[in-house]
Amino acid sequence: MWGYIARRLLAMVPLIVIVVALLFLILELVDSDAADTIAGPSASEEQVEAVREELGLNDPALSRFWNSLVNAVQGDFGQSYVSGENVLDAILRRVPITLSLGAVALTFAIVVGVGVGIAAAMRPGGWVDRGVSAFAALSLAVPPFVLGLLLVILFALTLGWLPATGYVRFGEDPGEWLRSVVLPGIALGTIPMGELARHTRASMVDTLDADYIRTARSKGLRGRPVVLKHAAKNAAAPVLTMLGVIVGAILGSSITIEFIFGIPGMGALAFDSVSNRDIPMIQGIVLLSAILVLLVNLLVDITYAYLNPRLRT
Amino acid sequence: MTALEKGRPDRPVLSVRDLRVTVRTQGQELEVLSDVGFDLRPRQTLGIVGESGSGKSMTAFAVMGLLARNARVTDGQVLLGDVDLLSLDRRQLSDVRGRDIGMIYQEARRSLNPAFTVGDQIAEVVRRHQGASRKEARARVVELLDMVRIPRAAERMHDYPHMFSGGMCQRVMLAIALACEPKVLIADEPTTALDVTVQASVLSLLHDLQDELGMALLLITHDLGVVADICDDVAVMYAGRIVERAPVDDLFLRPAHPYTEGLLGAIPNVLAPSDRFVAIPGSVPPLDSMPQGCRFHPRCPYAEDRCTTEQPPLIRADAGHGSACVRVHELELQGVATRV
Repeated sequence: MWGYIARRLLAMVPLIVIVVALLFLILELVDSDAADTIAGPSASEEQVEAVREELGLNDPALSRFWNSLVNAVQGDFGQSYVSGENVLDAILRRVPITLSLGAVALTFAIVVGVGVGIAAAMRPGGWVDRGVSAFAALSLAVPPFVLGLLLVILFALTLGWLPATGYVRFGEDPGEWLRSVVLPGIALGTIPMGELARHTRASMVDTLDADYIRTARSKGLRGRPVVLKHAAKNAAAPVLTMLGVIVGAILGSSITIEFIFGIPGMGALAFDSVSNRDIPMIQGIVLLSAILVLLVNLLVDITYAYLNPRLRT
Repeated sequence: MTALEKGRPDRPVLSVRDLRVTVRTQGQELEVLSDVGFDLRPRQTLGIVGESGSGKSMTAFAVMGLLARNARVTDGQVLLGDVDLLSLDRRQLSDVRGRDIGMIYQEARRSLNPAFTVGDQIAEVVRRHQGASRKEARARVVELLDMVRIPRAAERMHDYPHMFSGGMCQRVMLAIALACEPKVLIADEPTTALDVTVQASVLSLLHDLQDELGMALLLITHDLGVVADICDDVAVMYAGRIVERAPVDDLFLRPAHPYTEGLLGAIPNVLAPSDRFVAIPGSVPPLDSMPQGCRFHPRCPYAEDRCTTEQPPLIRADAGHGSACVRVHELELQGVATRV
């Protein structure tokens, strides 16, 4: 098992290099650079050129690529062009915020999605099943930022139950933290919830049809142990696969959601950095997000081996 | 009292009477089992034979209360001792399953949960019905694996189903089914998916365990060789009905229904190849276009006009021998030439 994990971690290295290369290429293709922003709107062409020279933006592309790669491997992602802050520090300060928001979104998606998915699978074609299908389709159809705005209008502005914007750190006040992340968490978790509901339903319907479920019943086991023990452990694997994808999607949507809800997380940082062409910061964020998604996928694969004994040998 | 009981004193342990099952497909209710009835005495082995789609497995599932969602029993009784299983609620029925009736299936490996060790799966039934502690259950699992002759039971209980061969999986299924020493074991094509040599060893194990535990065995199969090997009595099913019922030797030597004659004629004969290898023409009619009268008449070489209108119940052909053919007393049907 440890050998397997080590191999998988090693296999992440080329993937990360590819991510860095692609990112570099995309940023190369962007017409304007950070020098314009830093020098300010009233700067002359010479001043902008001086900033460019200072940042090393005039070096050949390949050497800049190599330098940033070498630095990144050493854990040095450089300084922000805009604030001069160390990129890694700035990101790490914001990562917990985004992760806690993401965790709320994921928890919501899993609890509700898997729950209604299982409920729907109990009687395929029944009214619960049809209701869940409609619910899932609806949840997939609404973009997170639209849902976020609707939630704000209803629960913050009209009913006044929850704050519309802002973020309170968990360590500061857990109750307020929860109140500040409920709405963005739901907005962020609704599409994953719909996807999980559909996948769980499909997977459970297949599994409940399996021969070993019939065996469990012929042993005298009743509904709940059959469904929750015998079916769920087998149905979980395909659902689990989705989690890797879902974590990536949640990270992506957090950009708009953090912006709407005024949450100072990694998504908001990404939004600002892109607006300012703050290339070291963008690189750092993308790289860390990529590593995060890869790690989640590794975790998913490890859990797989637990669920499916056939993969262990 | 049916003719089958031949005056033996034992009361049947399982008695199925006038069982009717319908299946709903595309808005239609179609009858898949009609008037199915048989008795099973303690220690008796009753074979149910017939082609695919004749209703053999459906009968077993109806007895177990494990019919698919779109199927339901519309009439009849399934008496286990004095209790009609069809009158029990789900909770009561689940108490009976695995304790008083065990069942094993054709695809043994697929019938075991791939995500749990075989020991867990056996222990589960022991704990469910006998309220055993974890430790007691574990000891019982080793006993049971020994009983079904799986070597190194104490080690192998920790293995997963994919680490066992098909025959070994069927032994594990047997351990599960027999864990609570049920009165009745239903075996639905238990050896069909196995190699011939493995088949023989599983069958002999089944036979020995039946003796040892004194249970009745309902063996569902399409393999007449298996029937000849271990059954006491046979019920032949065709298109959802029992068409003939007899002690095994009677059935093979003196079949009383043209369908049985056809089945016997279709057995390949190793000693005299080719000349007596005859297939029954046609195939089992689809559910939505069951012929009127005797359901076999379109394929029957002896059919006459009245066969298209009359569907007799089992007519006594001999002591303990019933046939659902109106011409039972007129026909001279061909059995197998020698004792099987």
